[in-house]
Amino acid sequence: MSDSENLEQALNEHDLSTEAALADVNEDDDEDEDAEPITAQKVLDILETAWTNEMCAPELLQHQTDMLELMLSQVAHMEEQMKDLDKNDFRFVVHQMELERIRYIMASYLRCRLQKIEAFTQHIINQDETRDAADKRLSSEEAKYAQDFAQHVDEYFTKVATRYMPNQQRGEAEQRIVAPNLMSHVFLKANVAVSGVIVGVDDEEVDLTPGSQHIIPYQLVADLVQKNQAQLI
Amino acid sequence: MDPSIIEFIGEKSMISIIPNFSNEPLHLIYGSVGPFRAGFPVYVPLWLATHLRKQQKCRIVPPEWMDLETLEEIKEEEKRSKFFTKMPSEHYMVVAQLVMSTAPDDVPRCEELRTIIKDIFDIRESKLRTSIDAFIKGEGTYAKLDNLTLLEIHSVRPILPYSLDHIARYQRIATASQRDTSMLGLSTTGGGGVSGSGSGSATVTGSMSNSFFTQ
Amino acid sequence: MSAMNYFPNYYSIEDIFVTQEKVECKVNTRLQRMGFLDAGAETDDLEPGRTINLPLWYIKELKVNNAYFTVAVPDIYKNVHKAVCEAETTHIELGRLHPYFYEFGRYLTPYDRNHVIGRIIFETLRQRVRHLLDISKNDTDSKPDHRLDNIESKLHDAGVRTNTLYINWLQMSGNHLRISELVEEHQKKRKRAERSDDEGAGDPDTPSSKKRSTM
Repeated sequence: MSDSENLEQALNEHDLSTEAALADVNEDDDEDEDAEPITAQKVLDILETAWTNEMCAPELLQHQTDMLELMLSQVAHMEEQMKDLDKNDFRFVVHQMELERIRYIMASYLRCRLQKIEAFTQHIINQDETRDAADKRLSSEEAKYAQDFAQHVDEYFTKVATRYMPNQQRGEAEQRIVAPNLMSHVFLKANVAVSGVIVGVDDEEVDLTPGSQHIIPYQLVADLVQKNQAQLI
Repeated sequence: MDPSIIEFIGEKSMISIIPNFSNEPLHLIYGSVGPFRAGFPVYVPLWLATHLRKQQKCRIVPPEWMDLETLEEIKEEEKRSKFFTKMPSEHYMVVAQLVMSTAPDDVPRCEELRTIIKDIFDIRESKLRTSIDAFIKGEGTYAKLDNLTLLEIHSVRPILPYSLDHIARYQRIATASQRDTSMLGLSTTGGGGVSGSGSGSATVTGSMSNSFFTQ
Repeated sequence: MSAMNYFPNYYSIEDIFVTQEKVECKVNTRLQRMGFLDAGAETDDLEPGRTINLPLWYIKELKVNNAYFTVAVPDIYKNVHKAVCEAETTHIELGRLHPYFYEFGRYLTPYDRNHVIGRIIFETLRQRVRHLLDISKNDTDSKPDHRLDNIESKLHDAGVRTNTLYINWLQMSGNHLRISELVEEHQKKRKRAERSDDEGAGDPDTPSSKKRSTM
């Protein structure tokens, strides 16, 4: 009885500890939002949106390392609190179910990114080289993975094919880069009112109302997705 | 996004249950639920509701719209309207499917509801197909799809966006070839084709915004 | 993201297949010791005025107005022109005309001085998409191969896959649910009726009868 009371208390406390942890990160990252501590629920929201955006976007989107780390520590914290609980306890089962759902989102999100990294390796590496540190699409782990992957593919091709070919053929590195079709059509939902969105290449504009949905080539709305003014569905 | 992912997303919808047990509130990362008091309704996420129902720890209270008369009205409205009407829940199919399959006994006139919800889905889907046809004939690159739910979008995904991608690709080629042949001969190497995924210099599309989907 | 739309790149096997296709060309100038390219040649040199077939991968690297060869527009594109103008393309057996009708046409577009190929592939696909959407929803497994080109066939596969996923989703959830007695009785009656009617009339276990009972 008293055990479970303690536990309930401990589980209740996690909100506070998360807020504290999240406030730290916020200070480093977003000066204009430092007054408001981010809640675990908000982090989950951001991750879910990042997940669906990533699934629907033809290109690799900006990494979410900060949010992922926050959520992972939240999950670890939760598991720590749960470890003394009876496995058949109602609370254990429910918390466990929720954690499984969250883990699924994170795993699916990262897997989706890996698929893109493997499909467009060199293209993504090249693009990231031109970006500022804050705008890089690849997380540092992903960047390392991409580099290794590119190197392995290269070594493999050299071993089985290109070293037997005339020099001329070896110089096709540029041509071999695989890039996504940024004009792929996507389904979009506006989060806020956005005016003057160009929807055709001849500069035709429309205003998006909050909650409105559209099918449109990705490239025309990529910046709205990045700024979270709209999300992919 | 296949149906299992759409179901997963829809499982976040809140639904009322009547538990047969009592418990303090649970502080989930997603948000707090409870307190649970035996015999009193409480809102929980659908994934929790179906779990508890399978454990026979609750009854599910069907959402208000899961009612023959309401749905009959929605169906008539959907038939009358040129546009997609707003559904009472943006995950109406998922909610209906999960509630009716886990707790058919909690839903009065379950079979009739099942049929009418399927009818509404079918009406909307065929409306979507008709609109798509008009949209593609209108040379648009962009269309509005207000009130369409994820599972309805799924019925034309990925075939519709993929088709539009190819149509747009060939349209760019056709337009570019008409405009300027001299530049084309030089750039047909590589697979990406003439305009490929470039920044859009050669991308000219007849983009009448399309009114068929617009409210 | 599991399967991406076809977008030709250096490694895509389809793009290699397309560029393997032979293109009919007219020789414009004497090409010394190139007679081996012409099966009917009597000299070592390739004589102006001769017609030979060259692979697309070679042709596409030449400028449109190169001094050596003039590309002849394949008849298949001229032959569908009328159907395209009359918007009667759905019945065309595109796969039989050319397995890579669209992509082959895309590569040849710059070489067509009359600018029709680009227009034709664009219009043909645009006209046929509605039909593709319809048949991919209704055919379950049998694929009308001869009627579809490679791009269409991929779109068709995507559509069939979507439909299968959707039906499975409806039924999988339906597995947890006991069929109501009323429906079960009805199904039994139908089976009995069908059995006594005649054997050819239809399989009592068709998906459509199951679909009804599970929503």
